[in-house]
Amino acid sequence: MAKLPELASALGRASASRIWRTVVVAGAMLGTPAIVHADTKAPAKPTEAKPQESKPAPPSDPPPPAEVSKADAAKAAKDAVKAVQAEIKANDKALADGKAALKKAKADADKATAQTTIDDATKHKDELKQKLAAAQADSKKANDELAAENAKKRPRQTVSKPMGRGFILS
Amino acid sequence: MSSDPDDALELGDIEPQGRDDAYEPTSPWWLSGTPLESEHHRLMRRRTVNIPWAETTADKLAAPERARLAATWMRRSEAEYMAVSTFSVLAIDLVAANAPADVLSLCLRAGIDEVRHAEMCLRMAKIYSGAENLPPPGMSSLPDDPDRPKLHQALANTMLVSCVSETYATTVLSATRDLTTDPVALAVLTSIYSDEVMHARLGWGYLRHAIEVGGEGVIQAAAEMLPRALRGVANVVERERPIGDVTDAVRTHGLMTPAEERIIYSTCVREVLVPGFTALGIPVGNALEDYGDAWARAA
Repeated sequence: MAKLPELASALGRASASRIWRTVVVAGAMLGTPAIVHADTKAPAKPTEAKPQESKPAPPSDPPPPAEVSKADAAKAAKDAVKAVQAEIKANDKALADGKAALKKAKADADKATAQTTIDDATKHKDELKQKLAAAQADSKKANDELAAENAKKRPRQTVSKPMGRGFILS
Repeated sequence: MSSDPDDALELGDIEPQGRDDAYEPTSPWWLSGTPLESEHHRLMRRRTVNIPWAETTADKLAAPERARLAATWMRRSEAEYMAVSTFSVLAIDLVAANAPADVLSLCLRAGIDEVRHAEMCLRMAKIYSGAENLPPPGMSSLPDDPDRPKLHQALANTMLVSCVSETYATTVLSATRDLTTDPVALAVLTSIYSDEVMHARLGWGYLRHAIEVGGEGVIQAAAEMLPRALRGVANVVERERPIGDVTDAVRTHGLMTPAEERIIYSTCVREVLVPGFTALGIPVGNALEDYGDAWARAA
């Protein structure tokens, strides 16, 4: 077994020579001129290549899943719209109740109370209309951002440490 | 390219586009039990490498040797199984980058080839262990950067999967075949090798095409990917191995030691990968230093 490294070297060189010809030269058509495409530049020549740092990129934590936060923002905005709509419904009910109470009221005090309720609800209705418009605008913006984010999504997650798939030798 | 007579010489008696008339279902315990099986067999019956399953010499091995071989062939089946998803994911990138039709069809066919490889490795594991196991479920991960051009994304992952991983696989398979005398192991390795040659060529062909289409930007993207691709395969080479000695008898059934594998990877980087990328104008950085003698002898 002591001679195994030498054997491996010899086998490796013989195989490398074979693979160089049958895979790389044949696959990349080395030795044949480049097909020039009218709208593209020719590849750089080997001599123009600058040495570069070849150490692997340090593993980094996966970026925060932006699409989740956009989705959360869109959901929150939608909930805000629903909340305002619920307020409007409650206010409309208060207004209707006030009008009904005014009809039924006989005493001046009761009439005054009902009128106050009607006035407050009427005034609040205008405020709620503006609030709803703002919430709907926020919701649309959040939805647009979510749609833009979804358009970028790929069918898989980013990985920071690629694993090659070399044939498992031993 | 496959009609080149030199190719036929290098591939032995294999006709790369031929069919295997001696085909028999390889690992029937891994099939669905539905009529899909007949179409599956049609897809698998593509190579004219006859595997003489009955001629195995496994019975001449000691029990620990058979256990060592069973463990390695099982790992091989797992790796080949994962490669099915690797080529599937790569196909998505290639489609997104508007790759040529021949590149797409070869990439998708490579996934089918990997199914056949996984089946053969499972059967080899059964020969040594007697157990009819299945590869564990899993999915391959490839780097994904949504912000870069799709051509660069496809090119980068083609480099990892095909130019580097598959080219190394062909080199190591070729070297291992030279040591293998067991007729079944030799035929299986030859069958896998004949497919891997095309899987590797796929990458070098697409790389050439992408450079011609994309010019300097593609070269820059390739240069950025190269160290990651080389490290990715080195991660595989450096992984821990099954327990058990690689005896002389075990070696004749298609195994080398991890130390030998390092030497072969280093040789592949120096004599195949670096010259290939350099010839295409891609800067190779410190590849020769990173995977030179010091790395090769570190095991």
